[in-house]
Amino acid sequence: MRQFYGHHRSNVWSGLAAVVVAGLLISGCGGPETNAAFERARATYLAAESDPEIMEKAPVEMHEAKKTLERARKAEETAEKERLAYLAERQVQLAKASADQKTAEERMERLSRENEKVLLEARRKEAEQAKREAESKAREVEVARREAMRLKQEAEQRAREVEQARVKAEELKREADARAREAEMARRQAEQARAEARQLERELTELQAKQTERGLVLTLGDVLFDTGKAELKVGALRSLDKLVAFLKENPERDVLIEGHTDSVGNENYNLALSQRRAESVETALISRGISPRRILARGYGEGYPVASNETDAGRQQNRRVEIVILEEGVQGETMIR
Amino acid sequence: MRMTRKKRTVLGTAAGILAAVFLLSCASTGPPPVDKISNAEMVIRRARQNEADKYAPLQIKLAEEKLEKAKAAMDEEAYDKARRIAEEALADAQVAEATSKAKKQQRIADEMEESVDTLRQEIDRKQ
Repeated sequence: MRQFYGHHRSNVWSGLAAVVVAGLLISGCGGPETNAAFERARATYLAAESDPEIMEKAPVEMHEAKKTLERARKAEETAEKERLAYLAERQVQLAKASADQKTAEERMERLSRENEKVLLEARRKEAEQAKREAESKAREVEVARREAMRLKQEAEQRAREVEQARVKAEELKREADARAREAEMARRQAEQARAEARQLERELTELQAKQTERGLVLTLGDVLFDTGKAELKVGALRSLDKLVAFLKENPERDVLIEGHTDSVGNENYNLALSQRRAESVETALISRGISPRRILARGYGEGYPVASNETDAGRQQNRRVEIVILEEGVQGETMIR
Repeated sequence: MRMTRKKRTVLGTAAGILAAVFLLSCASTGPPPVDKISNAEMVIRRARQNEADKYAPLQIKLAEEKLEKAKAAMDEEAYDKARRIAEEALADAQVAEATSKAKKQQRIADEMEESVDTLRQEIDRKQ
């Protein structure tokens, strides 16, 4: 058919102009005249063209639509015009859809970036949170550690205090025990001293000591001395030992030693003899540790008899040495006869 | 088919006139628009893959109907008609495909936005 057409076109072209025009008129195809489909396509196109987003995002599709619309405008035949208008309208719709697609794609990209940003932010915040929690935990641990250390120190301090108190208590107990022992010892000593004192008193009583207004008077009989001699016999010394012990026990009491004779013989001889016998007793006391200052010895001869010189028994009583143990604080000189 | 030269010229001229009139008026005819039809078929298929039935039901229906008409015209060897209808089918299919893609992407974008908003709210709540 193409061969046929191509072969004959040049031959027939020149003579056909009039026939063509006639043919067109006969076929009833329209020229450039108003057409509803075209107008609608044009309006659709113009509306899209005024949308900068469509123009920016789908320029190629819009260009194609414009070209098709132009072809529709130029189309002479109504059916062709309407067909092209239809295609143009579809191309405008395609341009719109493409623009929508691009908008959606851009939105997806933006959201994808935003999603990443949000996730990043979330991770950052989580890390911060974890860091804060770790720091908080570390602070708590540190506080607990310090508290534990403080409690430990306190406990140690308490233990030291308790130990000190214990040591102190022991010390006090030891002191108290020592005091108690000392007190007990003192008590025993006092007891002993009292016992000893009682013993001495008893012994002095045994020595026939007599309480007088001058003091306690102890009479040593003539049996202690040989006749006419002043030296004490051994038996007398034993009696003196008890006296010495008593005087040592009572250091505040001084002693007065008085020698006496009977009336037989020369009076001066008797005086001298009584004096020597008194001094003999004094010497014996001094030699046993009694201070000489506490002792005063005197011989009185026959001047102070205690019984009658007419009988042997009376004379024996008069031959004697009297030892006066003075009361405390009394001086010997004041008591001399 | 042997004729005299003159006779042939007269016949040719007459046929030529008729052909010319036919060509330049409403109906003309060319090669079979196989590529246009297969092109429309391809775009319809792609539109369907993008759920055109859901997002652009009218356009896809129009495209398919036109494709059927174009094929029918092909069978009748009315190639010009077939081409015109195939072109319209293609235009409809392209609109269906683009609309479907745009709506689908809009829906995905909406979902993404919702997801991002939810995420952001969760983060803000955690603070």
